[in-house]
Amino acid sequence: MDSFESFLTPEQLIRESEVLSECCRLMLEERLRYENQAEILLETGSFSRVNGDYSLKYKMKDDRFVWHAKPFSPNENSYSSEVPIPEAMVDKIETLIEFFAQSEAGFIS
Amino acid sequence: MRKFKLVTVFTIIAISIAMFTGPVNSSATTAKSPCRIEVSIAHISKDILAKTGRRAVKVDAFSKCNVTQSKVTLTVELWKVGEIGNHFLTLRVKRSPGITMPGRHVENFATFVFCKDRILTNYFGVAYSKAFIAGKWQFAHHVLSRKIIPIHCGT
Repeated sequence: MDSFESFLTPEQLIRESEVLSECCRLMLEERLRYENQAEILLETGSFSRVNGDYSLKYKMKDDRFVWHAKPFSPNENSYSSEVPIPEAMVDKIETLIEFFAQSEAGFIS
Repeated sequence: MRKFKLVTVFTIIAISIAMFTGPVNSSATTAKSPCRIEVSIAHISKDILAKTGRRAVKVDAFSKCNVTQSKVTLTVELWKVGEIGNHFLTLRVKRSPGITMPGRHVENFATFVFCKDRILTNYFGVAYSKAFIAGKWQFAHHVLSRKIIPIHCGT
Protein backbone atom coordinates (compact mmCIF):
# COMPACT_ATOMS: atom_id res chain seq x y z
CA MET A 1 0.00 0.00 0.00
CA ASP A 2 1.26 3.46 -0.86
CA SER A 3 1.38 6.00 1.88
CA PHE A 4 -0.94 8.92 1.34
CA GLU A 5 0.61 12.36 1.32
CA SER A 6 -1.84 15.05 2.34
CA PHE A 7 -1.98 18.47 0.65
CA LEU A 8 -3.24 20.01 3.88
CA THR A 9 -1.08 21.97 6.30
CA PRO A 10 -1.22 20.93 10.00
CA GLU A 11 -3.61 23.86 10.62
CA GLN A 12 -5.84 22.76 7.74
CA LEU A 13 -5.83 19.19 9.04
CA ILE A 14 -7.13 20.50 12.37
CA ARG A 15 -9.82 22.47 10.53
CA GLU A 16 -10.68 19.38 8.45
CA SER A 17 -11.11 17.42 11.65
CA GLU A 18 -13.36 20.13 13.11
CA VAL A 19 -15.52 20.32 9.98
CA LEU A 20 -15.97 16.54 9.68
CA SER A 21 -16.66 16.19 13.40
CA GLU A 22 -19.22 18.98 13.19
CA CYS A 23 -20.78 17.22 10.22
CA CYS A 24 -21.11 14.01 12.27
CA ARG A 25 -22.60 15.95 15.18
CA LEU A 26 -25.13 17.71 12.96
CA MET A 27 -26.21 14.44 11.35
CA LEU A 28 -27.04 13.07 14.77
CA GLU A 29 -28.34 16.09 16.68
CA GLU A 30 -30.15 17.91 13.86
CA ARG A 31 -31.66 14.82 12.31
CA LEU A 32 -35.26 15.82 13.04
CA ARG A 33 -34.80 19.30 11.52
CA TYR A 34 -33.11 17.79 8.48
CA GLU A 35 -35.96 15.31 8.03
CA ASN A 36 -38.39 18.23 8.01
CA GLN A 37 -36.20 20.16 5.56
CA ALA A 38 -35.97 17.06 3.35
CA GLU A 39 -39.75 16.82 3.29
CA ILE A 40 -40.01 20.45 2.15
CA LEU A 41 -37.30 20.07 -0.47
CA LEU A 42 -38.82 16.88 -1.91
CA GLU A 43 -42.30 18.44 -1.99
CA THR A 44 -41.47 21.88 -3.35
CA GLY A 45 -38.18 21.31 -5.17
CA SER A 46 -36.32 24.03 -3.26
CA PHE A 47 -35.51 25.23 0.22
CA SER A 48 -33.40 28.02 1.70
CA ARG A 49 -32.13 29.18 5.07
CA VAL A 50 -29.48 31.39 6.62
CA ASN A 51 -26.50 29.79 8.34
CA GLY A 52 -24.07 32.24 9.95
CA ASP A 53 -22.59 34.50 7.29
CA TYR A 54 -24.01 32.45 4.43
CA SER A 55 -27.32 32.10 2.67
CA LEU A 56 -27.92 28.44 1.85
CA LYS A 57 -30.12 27.46 -1.08
CA TYR A 58 -31.05 23.85 -1.83
CA LYS A 59 -32.78 22.56 -4.93
CA MET A 60 -33.32 19.54 -7.10
CA LYS A 61 -31.78 19.91 -10.53
CA ASP A 62 -32.25 17.06 -13.01
CA ASP A 63 -31.08 13.94 -11.16
CA ARG A 64 -29.11 15.77 -8.46
CA PHE A 65 -29.57 17.53 -5.15
CA VAL A 66 -27.71 20.85 -5.22
CA TRP A 67 -26.80 23.38 -2.56
CA HIS A 68 -25.27 26.84 -2.93
CA ALA A 69 -23.69 28.73 -0.03
CA LYS A 70 -23.59 32.41 -0.88
CA PRO A 71 -21.79 34.75 1.54
CA PHE A 72 -23.32 38.05 2.62
CA SER A 73 -19.91 39.65 2.06
CA PRO A 74 -18.97 39.87 -1.64
CA ASN A 75 -15.29 39.35 -0.73
CA GLU A 76 -15.80 35.90 0.77
CA ASN A 77 -15.62 32.60 -1.11
CA SER A 78 -18.83 30.93 -2.17
CA TYR A 79 -19.39 27.18 -2.31
CA SER A 80 -21.71 24.64 -3.83
CA SER A 81 -22.16 20.91 -3.92
CA GLU A 82 -24.10 18.25 -5.82
CA VAL A 83 -25.02 14.62 -5.15
CA PRO A 84 -27.10 12.16 -7.18
CA ILE A 85 -30.73 11.73 -6.12
CA PRO A 86 -31.28 8.10 -5.06
CA GLU A 87 -34.37 6.19 -6.20
CA ALA A 88 -35.79 4.96 -2.88
CA MET A 89 -37.43 7.46 -0.53
CA VAL A 90 -35.50 6.20 2.50
CA ASP A 91 -32.22 6.72 0.62
CA LYS A 92 -33.31 10.22 -0.44
CA ILE A 93 -33.89 11.18 3.19
CA GLU A 94 -30.55 9.71 4.36
CA THR A 95 -28.70 11.41 1.49
CA LEU A 96 -30.31 14.74 2.32
CA ILE A 97 -29.43 14.44 6.02
CA GLU A 98 -25.73 14.13 5.13
CA PHE A 99 -26.14 16.78 2.42
CA PHE A 100 -27.67 19.35 4.82
CA ALA A 101 -25.05 18.58 7.47
CA GLN A 102 -22.19 19.06 4.99
CA SER A 103 -23.58 22.42 3.92
CA GLU A 104 -23.78 23.67 7.52
CA ALA A 105 -20.60 22.11 8.93
CA GLY A 106 -18.32 24.89 7.71
CA PHE A 107 -15.59 25.14 5.13
CA ILE A 108 -11.93 24.13 5.06
CA SER A 109 -9.68 26.87 3.70
CA MET B 1 -11.15 -17.12 -13.66
CA ARG B 2 -10.06 -14.87 -10.84
CA LYS B 3 -7.16 -13.56 -12.93
CA PHE B 4 -9.56 -12.87 -15.80
CA LYS B 5 -11.85 -10.89 -13.47
CA LEU B 6 -8.90 -8.89 -12.13
CA VAL B 7 -7.72 -8.07 -15.67
CA THR B 8 -11.28 -7.00 -16.58
CA VAL B 9 -11.53 -4.68 -13.58
CA PHE B 10 -8.20 -3.02 -14.32
CA THR B 11 -9.14 -2.64 -17.99
CA ILE B 12 -12.35 -0.86 -16.98
CA ILE B 13 -10.39 1.44 -14.67
CA ALA B 14 -7.85 2.21 -17.40
CA ILE B 15 -10.58 2.96 -19.96
CA SER B 16 -12.46 5.10 -17.47
CA ILE B 17 -9.38 7.15 -16.71
CA ALA B 18 -8.61 7.53 -20.40
CA MET B 19 -12.15 8.78 -21.01
CA PHE B 20 -11.81 11.43 -18.36
CA THR B 21 -8.38 12.66 -19.25
CA GLY B 22 -8.47 15.78 -21.38
CA PRO B 23 -5.69 17.42 -23.34
CA VAL B 24 -3.88 18.26 -20.13
CA ASN B 25 -2.50 15.09 -18.55
CA SER B 26 -2.91 14.17 -14.91
CA SER B 27 0.34 15.77 -13.87
CA ALA B 28 -1.43 18.83 -15.17
CA THR B 29 1.53 20.86 -16.31
CA THR B 30 2.00 21.70 -19.95
CA ALA B 31 4.33 24.08 -21.71
CA LYS B 32 1.38 26.29 -22.68
CA SER B 33 -0.60 26.36 -19.48
CA PRO B 34 0.37 28.88 -16.81
CA CYS B 35 -1.72 26.92 -14.30
CA ARG B 36 -1.77 23.44 -12.87
CA ILE B 37 -4.18 21.42 -10.77
CA GLU B 38 -3.25 18.61 -8.41
CA VAL B 39 -5.74 16.08 -7.09
CA SER B 40 -5.01 13.82 -4.15
CA ILE B 41 -5.51 10.08 -4.05
CA ALA B 42 -8.95 9.30 -2.63
CA HIS B 43 -8.34 8.37 1.00
CA ILE B 44 -9.94 7.72 4.36
CA SER B 45 -9.88 10.70 6.67
CA LYS B 46 -7.97 9.11 9.56
CA ASP B 47 -8.61 11.80 12.11
CA ILE B 48 -12.38 11.66 11.81
CA LEU B 49 -12.20 7.88 12.18
CA ALA B 50 -10.24 8.25 15.42
CA LYS B 51 -12.49 11.00 16.75
CA THR B 52 -15.95 9.78 15.85
CA GLY B 53 -15.56 6.17 14.74
CA ARG B 54 -17.05 7.11 11.39
CA ARG B 55 -15.20 6.61 8.13
CA ALA B 56 -15.29 9.08 5.26
CA VAL B 57 -13.69 8.89 1.83
CA LYS B 58 -12.21 12.21 0.80
CA VAL B 59 -10.37 13.80 -2.09
CA ASP B 60 -8.53 17.14 -2.08
CA ALA B 61 -7.32 19.40 -4.86
CA PHE B 62 -5.63 22.72 -5.43
CA SER B 63 -4.86 24.90 -8.41
CA LYS B 64 -1.82 27.10 -8.78
CA CYS B 65 -0.96 29.63 -11.49
CA ASN B 66 2.23 31.49 -12.25
CA VAL B 67 0.19 34.51 -13.38
CA THR B 68 -2.32 36.73 -11.61
CA GLN B 69 -5.84 35.35 -11.86
CA SER B 70 -9.25 36.33 -10.57
CA LYS B 71 -12.71 34.80 -10.08
CA VAL B 72 -11.20 31.32 -9.73
CA THR B 73 -13.64 28.43 -9.61
CA LEU B 74 -12.22 25.05 -8.60
CA THR B 75 -14.48 22.00 -8.85
CA VAL B 76 -13.62 18.65 -7.29
CA GLU B 77 -15.60 15.49 -8.01
CA LEU B 78 -15.46 12.16 -6.18
CA TRP B 79 -16.11 9.00 -8.22
CA LYS B 80 -16.44 5.33 -7.35
CA VAL B 81 -15.10 2.70 -9.73
CA GLY B 82 -17.83 0.21 -10.69
CA GLU B 83 -17.70 -3.08 -12.53
CA ILE B 84 -19.77 -1.77 -15.43
CA GLY B 85 -19.08 1.95 -15.17
CA ASN B 86 -17.96 4.57 -12.71
CA HIS B 87 -20.40 6.21 -10.33
CA PHE B 88 -20.49 9.91 -9.53
CA LEU B 89 -20.74 10.38 -5.75
CA THR B 90 -20.44 14.09 -5.11
CA LEU B 91 -18.85 17.32 -6.23
CA ARG B 92 -17.82 20.42 -4.36
CA VAL B 93 -17.21 23.81 -5.98
CA LYS B 94 -15.24 26.66 -4.46
CA ARG B 95 -15.52 30.12 -6.01
CA SER B 96 -12.94 32.68 -5.02
CA PRO B 97 -14.24 36.15 -5.99
CA GLY B 98 -11.09 38.24 -5.69
CA ILE B 99 -7.63 38.31 -7.19
CA THR B 100 -5.25 35.39 -6.65
CA MET B 101 -1.61 36.34 -6.90
CA PRO B 102 0.92 34.22 -8.85
CA GLY B 103 2.04 31.14 -6.92
CA ARG B 104 -0.87 31.24 -4.50
CA HIS B 105 -2.95 28.10 -4.16
CA VAL B 106 -6.71 27.99 -4.54
CA GLU B 107 -7.71 24.99 -2.46
CA ASN B 108 -10.76 22.79 -2.38
CA PHE B 109 -10.34 20.44 0.56
CA ALA B 110 -13.92 19.50 1.42
CA THR B 111 -15.08 16.83 -1.01
CA PHE B 112 -16.06 13.77 1.00
CA VAL B 113 -18.73 11.14 1.56
CA PHE B 114 -19.29 9.07 4.69
CA CYS B 115 -18.81 5.31 4.29
CA LYS B 116 -21.78 2.98 4.76
CA ASP B 117 -19.73 -0.16 5.35
CA ARG B 118 -16.17 -1.53 5.04
CA ILE B 119 -16.37 -3.08 1.58
CA LEU B 120 -13.08 -2.67 -0.30
CA THR B 121 -13.80 -0.07 -3.00
CA ASN B 122 -11.86 1.98 -5.54
CA TYR B 123 -12.35 5.74 -5.70
CA PHE B 124 -10.76 8.58 -7.60
CA GLY B 125 -11.04 12.36 -7.75
CA VAL B 126 -11.46 14.65 -10.75
CA ALA B 127 -10.78 18.38 -10.62
CA TYR B 128 -11.11 21.23 -13.08
CA SER B 129 -11.14 24.99 -12.87
CA LYS B 130 -11.81 28.24 -14.61
CA ALA B 131 -10.33 31.67 -13.96
CA PHE B 132 -10.20 35.13 -15.46
CA ILE B 133 -6.64 35.64 -16.70
CA ALA B 134 -5.32 38.51 -18.81
CA GLY B 135 -8.80 39.68 -19.74
CA LYS B 136 -10.35 36.37 -20.71
CA TRP B 137 -11.71 33.18 -19.20
CA GLN B 138 -9.25 30.30 -19.07
CA PHE B 139 -10.37 26.74 -18.46
CA ALA B 140 -8.17 24.02 -16.96
CA HIS B 141 -9.09 20.57 -18.19
CA HIS B 142 -10.07 17.63 -16.02
CA VAL B 143 -7.26 16.21 -13.91
CA LEU B 144 -7.52 12.88 -12.09
CA SER B 145 -6.03 11.39 -8.97
CA ARG B 146 -2.71 9.92 -10.07
CA LYS B 147 -3.47 6.58 -8.41
CA ILE B 148 -6.41 4.51 -7.31
CA ILE B 149 -5.82 2.69 -4.03
CA PRO B 150 -8.63 0.40 -2.81
CA ILE B 151 -9.98 1.45 0.55
CA HIS B 152 -12.28 -0.20 3.08
CA CYS B 153 -15.24 2.10 2.53
CA GLY B 154 -18.45 1.09 0.85
CA THR B 155 -20.77 3.89 -0.26
